[in-house]
Amino acid sequence: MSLTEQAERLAAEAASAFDGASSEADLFQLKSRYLGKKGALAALLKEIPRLEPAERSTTGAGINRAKKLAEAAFDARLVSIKDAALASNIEGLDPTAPPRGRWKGHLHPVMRAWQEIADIFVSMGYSIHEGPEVDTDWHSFEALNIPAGHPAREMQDTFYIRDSQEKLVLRPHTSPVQIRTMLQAKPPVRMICPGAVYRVDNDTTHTPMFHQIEGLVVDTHTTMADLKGTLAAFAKAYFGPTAEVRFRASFFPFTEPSAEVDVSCVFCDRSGSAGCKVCKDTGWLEVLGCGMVDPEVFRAVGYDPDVYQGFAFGMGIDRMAMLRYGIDDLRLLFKNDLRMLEQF
Amino acid sequence: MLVPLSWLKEMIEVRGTVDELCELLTNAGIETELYEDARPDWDGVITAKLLSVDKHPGADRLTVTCPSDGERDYSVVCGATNHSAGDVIALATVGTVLPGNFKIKRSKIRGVPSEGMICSEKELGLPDTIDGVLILPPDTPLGKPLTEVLDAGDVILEVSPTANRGDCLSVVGVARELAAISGWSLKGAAAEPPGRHGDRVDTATAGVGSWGLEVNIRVDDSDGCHRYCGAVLKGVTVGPSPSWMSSRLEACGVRSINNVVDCTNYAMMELGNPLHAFDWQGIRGQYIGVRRAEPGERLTTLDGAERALVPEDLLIVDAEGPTALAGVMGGQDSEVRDDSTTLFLESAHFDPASVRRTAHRLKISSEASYRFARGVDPELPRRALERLMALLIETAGGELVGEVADVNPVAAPKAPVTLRIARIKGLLGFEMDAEEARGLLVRGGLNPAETATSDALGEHIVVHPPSWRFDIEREVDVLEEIARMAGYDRIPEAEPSGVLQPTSRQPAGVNQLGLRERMAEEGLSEALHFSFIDPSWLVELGLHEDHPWRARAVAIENPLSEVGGILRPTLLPSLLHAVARNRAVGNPDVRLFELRTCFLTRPGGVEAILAGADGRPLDKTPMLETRKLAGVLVGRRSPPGWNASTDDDVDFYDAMACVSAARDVIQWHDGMRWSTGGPAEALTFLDPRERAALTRGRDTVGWVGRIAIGALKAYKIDAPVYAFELDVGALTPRKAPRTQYSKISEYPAAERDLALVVPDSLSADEVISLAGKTATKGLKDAFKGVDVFDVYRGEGIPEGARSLALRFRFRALDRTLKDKEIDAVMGKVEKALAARHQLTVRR
Repeated sequence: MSLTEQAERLAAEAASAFDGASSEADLFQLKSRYLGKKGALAALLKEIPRLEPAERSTTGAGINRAKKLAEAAFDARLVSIKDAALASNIEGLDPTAPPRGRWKGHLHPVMRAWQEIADIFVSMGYSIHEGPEVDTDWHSFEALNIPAGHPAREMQDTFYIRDSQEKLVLRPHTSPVQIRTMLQAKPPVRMICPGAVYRVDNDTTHTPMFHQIEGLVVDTHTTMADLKGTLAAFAKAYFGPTAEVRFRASFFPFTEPSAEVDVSCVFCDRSGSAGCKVCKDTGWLEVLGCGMVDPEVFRAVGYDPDVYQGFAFGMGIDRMAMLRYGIDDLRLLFKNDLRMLEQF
Repeated sequence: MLVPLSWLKEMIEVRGTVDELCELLTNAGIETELYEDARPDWDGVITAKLLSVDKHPGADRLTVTCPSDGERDYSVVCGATNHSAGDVIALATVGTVLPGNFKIKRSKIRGVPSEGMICSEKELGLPDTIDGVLILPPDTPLGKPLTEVLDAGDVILEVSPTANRGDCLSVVGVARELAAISGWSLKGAAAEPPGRHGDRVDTATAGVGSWGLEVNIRVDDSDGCHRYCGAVLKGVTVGPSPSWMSSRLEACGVRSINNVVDCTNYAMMELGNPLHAFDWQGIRGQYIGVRRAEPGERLTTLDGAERALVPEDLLIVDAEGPTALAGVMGGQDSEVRDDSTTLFLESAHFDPASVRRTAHRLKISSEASYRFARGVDPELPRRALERLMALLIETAGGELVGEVADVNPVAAPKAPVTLRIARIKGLLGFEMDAEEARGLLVRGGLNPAETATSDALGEHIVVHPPSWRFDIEREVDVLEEIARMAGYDRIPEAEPSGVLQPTSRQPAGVNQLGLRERMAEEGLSEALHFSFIDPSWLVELGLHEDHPWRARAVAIENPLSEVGGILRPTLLPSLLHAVARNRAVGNPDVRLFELRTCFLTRPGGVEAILAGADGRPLDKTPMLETRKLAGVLVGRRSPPGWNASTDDDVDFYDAMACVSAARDVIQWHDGMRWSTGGPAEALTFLDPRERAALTRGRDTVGWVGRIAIGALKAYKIDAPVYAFELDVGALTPRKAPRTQYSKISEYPAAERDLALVVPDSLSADEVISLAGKTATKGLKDAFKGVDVFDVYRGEGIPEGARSLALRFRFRALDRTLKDKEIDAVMGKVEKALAARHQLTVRR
């Protein structure tokens, strides 16, 4: 029997041996017996130098062909063994059974609203600023055209820091951040300042801590029409493309003229249909306060009020979150019940 | 302020419905709502004219009428006899429900169809004064709801003027504002001219000396008191007010006391000037002075409280001392009594700031101080006094003694204000020509001069605001009036323009967005708590009173007891409360994080910051505020389920995994150290066996551990709670590290394991750090890191130590590493560990 014939026989024997292997380990053992460096087929190759030179190349090719066949048989068996091993783990597949769980965290609805609102203004070129939550009377009131004892101070009942002779307050609005930003930067300014604010108020519709986003634009040409356009664009981005805004005259010491801003009710679409609990059938939701920055505020931060003008606005994030997600109880926002948090 | 519509209608010709009136005022910034509607329910009852009245073909006593509402004619059968063709009547149309649940239906009466009913007074729920149906005046407009043409039952409006519009805190004031925005005409008291003036005098006498009934008045502080009018009234009988006065005051929410007090309140509600009546007997020495308090002076006010006065308080004094707090509250000794017969009446104008300061300091809010603080028409006192006297004489009798005293009756100077027409477009953003602007200013009562033009101002109008519009001093104030008069709907929506600058989704500093998203990925949900906690919460954590969280907590001067009196220095107690609450409502597995500001006082105090410079405080943050990230983990490591990865509960290393995730986000630098002793010992709320402090130098900037059983007691949590807190403000590097790519190798990697016996006093971190440093030194770029892959205690390992199995990874960029090179490095590592920490290698 020529070497080639021996090789072919060995290959056939190997193939049937491989097919008989029942585990990966057995298969690899068989592989080394037939195909290893010291295996049977390798031994045949070592015989080649003994042949006549003329036969060497055809025999070599023949043995290698046989070896390839054995290798193919090995590969095929390896795949089938692995597949069988996998199959043994799969029984009665049910794609509707609950998948393997892992804990999922949820971001707080107020913080989601916070970022969503911030992102809308960031997309319009506003930068974001923060400031201290305990601030001085000057930054929180005086610089905002609210001198001591001014009736406007009663508009927000303020928490004072103990032993500070009412010179340090828990900020009742984020406006001091506007003041701090203007003190540090020259116009043009286009900023928002989100953050926690505090007022002495605790009932079903007020919490002693809540969140505001205020905005400020200062340059030489911005008008109240720009303010209205900006807030209309914001309302559409936040509440949807059908949202409209309406201005009503109001008063804030730090803006003049000042306005309350209503957004058309997104719950009843201002259909006037009776029974809208959110807008109480008025068709409008009061969500913002705004106005043109009072020249006294510019004076306080060293901007020339004859050169610069601009607008400011503010809104409550908690209320925006409640409107957005249909949360009907303000107190829920601070209870941190996972049954509520996990919905976001 | 509550205003009965009937009173308002005495001052202005109301030409709209109540809803329209409310909307007009509200849109102009004077928020007005329907407070109480006592009008009868006449929905469906309209005015109509009888075109014909004919006898009913089938009944002698009935008529068949044809009422018309101007657009439609009806056929109505009527049983009354007092009506004839041409009369205007009240027609209850089909569907109307009259008082007494009387439904009007379409019907046939003896063969004649009837579409409604012609109403009598009785059927409308009105007092029955005429026999038959109600006949309205012939000029009554047709087709109008009856409620609009017939005053029956009042409407009370709640008017809330903004803080700058003290002039609207009276019926006349509201009427004037309504006239300014609607153009409706004023009448009654609102149409009368303000007051009269005279020459400046500092003293005057009310009453007549020869009767012994005089009061000498002297104003020593004309900054605090701009005008003082006084009068003596004798022969007054104190008693109940007439019902028209008491019921009107009660409709305004003012309690009726007696006719004298009620008259002062009535005149104030009508005109806006607070007034005060003194019992003449209570004024010592026939003298009234206005001056600031002297140190140590005291006064018992009407409410019975004895007040210590300070020199900034403006007082009304008699010959012997204080008798009233000017513009705030009267004194007890000069209060009008049931047997008072002679009164001294005061009508003055006090400085708003002075009244504000005193009222605020003494925490008094009276109708008087509320109005003076917001501003009262300085021209009003004389007129208000005369109105008060007329009311008193009408309701309490009595007569004026001698003259009215009028101190400083000088017209308050009011500077004209110039409006440049171009600024309307420039600030408000809409076009308006001078003619229209001037028209609005006329209607608004701002007395504009003719339009003028100059080079400096362009086209402009000079306005002379009336004395009660003290809020109008600057051009921008006039611009606001223009916007209000034109209506804010006039402002268009423009597209803003400006310089484009790059911005970021979050402020500079801590990567809050990254941290919050990363914590959510770790399976922690975000909590949000008030910044307030109760100081006892820190005591419950077992913290020593010298611990900075207790010693330097920021306290609130006027806290709400139910939410706590200090600002939290740590987020932990709030989160523990959340754990307890959640477990109580059936959420056993609680994984929460919070990322918020924590507060401590500055060790050096705030004096320097408050003292400041250039007349204002420094911009430095007054308290130490730092952003902290904290988390709590309770319950199972994986959500339960048929194929849950594990049934184990969370442990220390789950909390540590969250810390590690935070580190990935912040990338704090290498100067931080973990320790289980030393600084960790101050963390009394953590179990000593499972706690670690993260330190930078001597500062603790974070901690991880299991909450000690003792600290959990207060929360009634009966499961192990693992928690962590990181001062991410302090941990965030000043300069954000930049992510840099390092090359990956195409050559094979090599690993070496090393097991060491390590005493428990030595942290894995210290072992790894020395091993890593040594390996790096030996094989610079090829050393890829070392990890702990096993920790073993037990047989073969001495007490107080454990075996740490380390795995070193090597891979060179430029070659296949030779065993020899790696073995050499590992030798050095072993040597270094032995030399430094006396560690022995387990073979």
